[in-house]
Amino acid sequence: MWSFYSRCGSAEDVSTAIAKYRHEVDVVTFDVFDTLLQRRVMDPDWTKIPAAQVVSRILELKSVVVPVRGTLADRLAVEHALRQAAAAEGMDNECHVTDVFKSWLECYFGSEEAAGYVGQLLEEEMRREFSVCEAVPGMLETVREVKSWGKRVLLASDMYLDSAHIADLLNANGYEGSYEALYVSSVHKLTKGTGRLYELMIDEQEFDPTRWIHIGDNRWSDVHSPARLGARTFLFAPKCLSVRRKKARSLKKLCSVSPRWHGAELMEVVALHTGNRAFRSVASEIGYWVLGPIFVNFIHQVIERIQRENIGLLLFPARDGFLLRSIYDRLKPILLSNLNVRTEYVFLNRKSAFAASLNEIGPREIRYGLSSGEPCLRNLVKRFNLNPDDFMDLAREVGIDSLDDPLDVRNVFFDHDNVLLFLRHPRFLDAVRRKSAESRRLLKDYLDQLGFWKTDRVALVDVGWGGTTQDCLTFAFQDDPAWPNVLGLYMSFVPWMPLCRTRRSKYRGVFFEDRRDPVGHAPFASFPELFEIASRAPHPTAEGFRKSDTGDNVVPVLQSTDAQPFLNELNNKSLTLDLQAGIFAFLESYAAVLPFLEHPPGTYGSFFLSQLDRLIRFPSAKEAKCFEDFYHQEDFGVEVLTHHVHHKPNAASWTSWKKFLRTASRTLWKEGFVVGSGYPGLIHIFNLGKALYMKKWS
Amino acid sequence: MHSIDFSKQRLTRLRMALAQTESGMNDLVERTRFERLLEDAGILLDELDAKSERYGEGSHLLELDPFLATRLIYCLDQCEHIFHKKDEPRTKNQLCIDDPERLLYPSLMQTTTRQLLKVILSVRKKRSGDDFGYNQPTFREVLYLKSPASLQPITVCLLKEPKRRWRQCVTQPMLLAAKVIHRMLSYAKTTWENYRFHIRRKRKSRSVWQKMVGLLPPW
Repeated sequence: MWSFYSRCGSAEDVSTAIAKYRHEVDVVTFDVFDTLLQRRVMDPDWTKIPAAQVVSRILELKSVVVPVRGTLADRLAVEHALRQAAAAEGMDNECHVTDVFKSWLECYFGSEEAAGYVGQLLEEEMRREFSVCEAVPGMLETVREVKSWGKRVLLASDMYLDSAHIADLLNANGYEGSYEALYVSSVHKLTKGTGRLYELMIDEQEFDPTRWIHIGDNRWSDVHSPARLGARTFLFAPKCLSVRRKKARSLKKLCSVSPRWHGAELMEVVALHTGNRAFRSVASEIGYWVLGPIFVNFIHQVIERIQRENIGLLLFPARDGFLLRSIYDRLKPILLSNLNVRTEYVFLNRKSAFAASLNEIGPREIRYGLSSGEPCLRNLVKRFNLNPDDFMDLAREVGIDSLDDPLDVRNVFFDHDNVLLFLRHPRFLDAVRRKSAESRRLLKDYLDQLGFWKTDRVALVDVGWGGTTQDCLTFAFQDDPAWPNVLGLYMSFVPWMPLCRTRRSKYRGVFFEDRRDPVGHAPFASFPELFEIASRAPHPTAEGFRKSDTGDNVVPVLQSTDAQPFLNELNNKSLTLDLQAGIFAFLESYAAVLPFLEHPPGTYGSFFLSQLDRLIRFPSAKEAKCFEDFYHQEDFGVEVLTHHVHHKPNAASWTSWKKFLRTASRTLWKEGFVVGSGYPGLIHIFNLGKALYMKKWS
Repeated sequence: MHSIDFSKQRLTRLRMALAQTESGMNDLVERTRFERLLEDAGILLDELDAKSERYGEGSHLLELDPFLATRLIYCLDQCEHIFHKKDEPRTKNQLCIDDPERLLYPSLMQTTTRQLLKVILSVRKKRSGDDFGYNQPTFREVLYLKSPASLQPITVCLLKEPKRRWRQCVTQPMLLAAKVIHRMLSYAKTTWENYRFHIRRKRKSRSVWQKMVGLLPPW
């Protein structure tokens, strides 16, 4: 649309515009919000959420449950009513923050009690305003420059906050001493929109309106209204502001269609907090934009859950637990300040708990024992925490020549009679039981050190996947009368074998649970190692327990730092550190945005999953290159080595394509491999083919 | 490898390295991060040192306090990592969904993709986000994540509920007409206001109609 307004796209433009007319004006006035100060939120109403949360919390203490959305809606209704009342009295549509808080609280409490909470709400509101307000880049210099020309600088704002509050915000952002007076609509009950606030300003400050320039971001109240009084006006409309407003509008529409888009809103706000930050590498960017939201939101949901479940002890099993507990420690003071939940970083894993859970050797034990890249008797015996070389004689006795012969996992009971003879041999069973009793005793003492047996309700927080550690613990100790209620909270729960589910041992998937959502595991099933790498602590895995040198406590036996698996992991140290740096950076941004979140954390999670799925199914070439070569070792000893040097197959050569497909079938992250080939569009064909193959195409 | 003494050596080495390259780390963000991590490592090491005195010398770091020890190792690792890569150029913010300058106007490629997607989706006759596939991002979501600002209006169109589709078809021309009328009215309004508030003072000698004609755009 053709417009006559003089637009200023930046602070420099404002400066140039004023300089052009500097000899014709005496007074320069500025709007405050979105001209001198900007807020790092999508919608100004977001700043009202923290106060609404405080009201919800006060009501909760009085056993009245009103959700944050409810209290916020009440506040907006009260504001509307107060504005109407002011208009009825002949003033303009405006209200003062103190009146708003008073009337708002009177919806729930008596007048005296309500007055007591007003100060607390004001404090909270201002604290949050301070945390999100920042000076618009370049405007501080412009205002100072105008002042240095000997012009009078005045400020005018249509705002429900008090003038003292706005002055504090301005001073905190460096505007102290740059202006003569500040006119706020809530104080005078007159607004800029009607022009009456300007009239008051002209009367009080006694200046000639024809020798006056006003700059602001609103077409009506900052351009038309002062122009009607004779001022020369400029619309302050930087590109980034209009884009942000446009985005906020369209996201609002999308949110009304599906609540999952609230996650996009949250990410936009995080982007505002991030600013023009440059990242060390693509891996830290992935950590920041994709993995950070998933891990942090998971822990946020866990915190909500433990509040509901009244958990007394929170266990974070090594090694993924390091990242999870670090996130928990950062979020806890904000979300759980009044709850006393003990947390422990524990060396519990399948390897350290499995030996303790052994009693008989049945299908469960054999399946656990043979779940490896190379299923053979040697690995199975090792998993029982026994030395395979001690049983060579026994093996020969039952007709087994080598412990390294590969076994068919599905048909151990039918095809391998010798193996069964070996496993059921009294000598072997005896050794297993002895070792199991010893492991169980050590594990019990270790758990005792953590206060496990003295707590009623314990939660085990882990990334995933099969819940086997909890299963082993349950198998080992479920008959113990001191066994507490154990709740396993997994980011994604994909059990691959029947688990020991009892009334006092429950398993829950927070983002994904196979029983609840049988087809939603695409992000987690395609590339679970991504989470393992990202959350890995920088120490070797635990292999069992032993008595300490002093003999008074139980300590974990860690894999040697010279062992080949750990040395292999060190090759990926740089990748892990970059991913974790990104995740921790996101955690800080999330903690800053947290007080402004209106919805429960689960609402935001589904969008974060989409982002993750985008990364895994439609990676860019750079993202794929990040993970082209990495080593991963599971605690149970299953080693995964992904090494795919990107090569572009020759389009005309079938042999080249055959080689490409063969390598792709062996690669862990096939999407990354396909993108690495360099053919544009191949990934879309691959994904379409995969969806058709899995019969999950709508 | 993970002992108190070894960690002390690492910390001292890093502190010395920082002191020696006072002007070497130009990146202020990274430098601040480095210093903070180093400070954290110092505090953690002191805590663990106090514990080791209580539990006896020579204990494995992770046996004293597993979580604090892990944090210490992490801090030292990160410091070394930052220090070794201090001269490498940093990448631009590539995955950030907010890049207003770049995404203000849709490029030819984006427009083509948008049209293509429209065709694909209209052929498939699937518009509802939740029923589109199994819990995967749909094309429009992928598109949204790749280039949000310019394509959000399109995604809004695609998200309309299927049941209301026929009604949209009926009302589409009416909406268009309403939009055109609204545009015309708002243009007239703006012109009139501009005439009243801006131009009146400048061209006093001409008649109202002359002024109005003068205000019309060149076409």
